[in-house]
Amino acid sequence: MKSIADLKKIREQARHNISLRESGERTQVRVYMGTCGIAAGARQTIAAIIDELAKQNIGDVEVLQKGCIGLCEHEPLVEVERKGEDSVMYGHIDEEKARRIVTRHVIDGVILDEWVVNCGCSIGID
Amino acid sequence: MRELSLHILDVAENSLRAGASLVEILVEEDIVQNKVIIKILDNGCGMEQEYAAKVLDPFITERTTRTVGLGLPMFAAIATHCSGHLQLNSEPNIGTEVLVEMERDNIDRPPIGDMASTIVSLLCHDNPADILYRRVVEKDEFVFDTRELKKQLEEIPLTEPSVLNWIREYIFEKEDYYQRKGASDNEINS
Ligand SMILES: Nc1ncnc2c1ncn2[C@@H]1O[C@H](COP(=O)(O)OP(=O)(O)OP(=O)(O)O)[C@@H](O)[C@H]1O
Ligand SMILES: [Mg+2]
Repeated sequence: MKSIADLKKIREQARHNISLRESGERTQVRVYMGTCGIAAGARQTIAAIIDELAKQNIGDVEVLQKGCIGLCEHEPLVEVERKGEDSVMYGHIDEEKARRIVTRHVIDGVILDEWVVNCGCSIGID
Repeated sequence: MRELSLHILDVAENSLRAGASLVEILVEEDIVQNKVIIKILDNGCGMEQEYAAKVLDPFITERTTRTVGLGLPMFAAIATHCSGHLQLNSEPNIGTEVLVEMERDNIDRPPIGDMASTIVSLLCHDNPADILYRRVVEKDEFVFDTRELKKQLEEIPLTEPSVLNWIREYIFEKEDYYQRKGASDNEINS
């Protein structure tokens, strides 16, 4: 059984990782979910991203849940923005694809073209 | 949506969007009264009476990205379908309460589902708030309070992936216990 006392160990490990990080901006991974995103499975997508990051011991990435942006037909939507690079929007991202995006794009910096959504618009945040 | 926990995520997302700093979530199974009770309470911006009365209509939304708001009407529909109801109480500048009750053994009642992922997903919201989650089955109660966690974590943010993953596994273990308990209490009562 896990207990709150475990947090002490997690805290020490996180502290160690954070001290190793270079300062400055962090990579952001944004998952968009209104009712439509949730219904399309966005919750499992975000859980998979967090799990993959934690398993690979990647700390300097911020995972953000954001509201619906009206691209409901492409959900679940995942946007990756690496430090100093343009952001990339991916559509129809299930758990498996989400794990691959973490490994290939977030960590290795390779854009996975086949899942990119070209919405032809600048994204308006609600 | 196949799980109550998905509706809870959806309704609590409204609370975060409303600028709440604390969201309280109760999920209770009352086996003797044959009820599932869900309550989501926030201290966000609230709504005017007149607007709140209309919000259960899907054509009411503040979204600019879409013309229909689906969250509350969908949850209300499933509650009614399971011989229950959804009640919305809101006051401007005070906050909002969504109270749902439904028949626990109704054949159409969705399972509670993955509350662990729901909580973790809320913790990642770009408008973050503290979360007090209470899970009750009969006299047994599990309480999860991010304010307690923050004390343990000191300066380390809750949103650190390793922390979020631990939270998910922690709640998941408790949920598993409560789901088993719900199932075995059923047999005792029948
Ligand atoms: N907790 C709350 N505090 C303040 N306003 C709320 C709250 N919950 C709902 N509302 C208002 O009611 C509207 C309808 O909510 P509902 O969840 O049904 O749809 P929505 O959030 O607009 O869109 P979606 O379909 O993505 O959920 C919201 O746009 C918001 O204006
Ligand atoms: Mg909503």
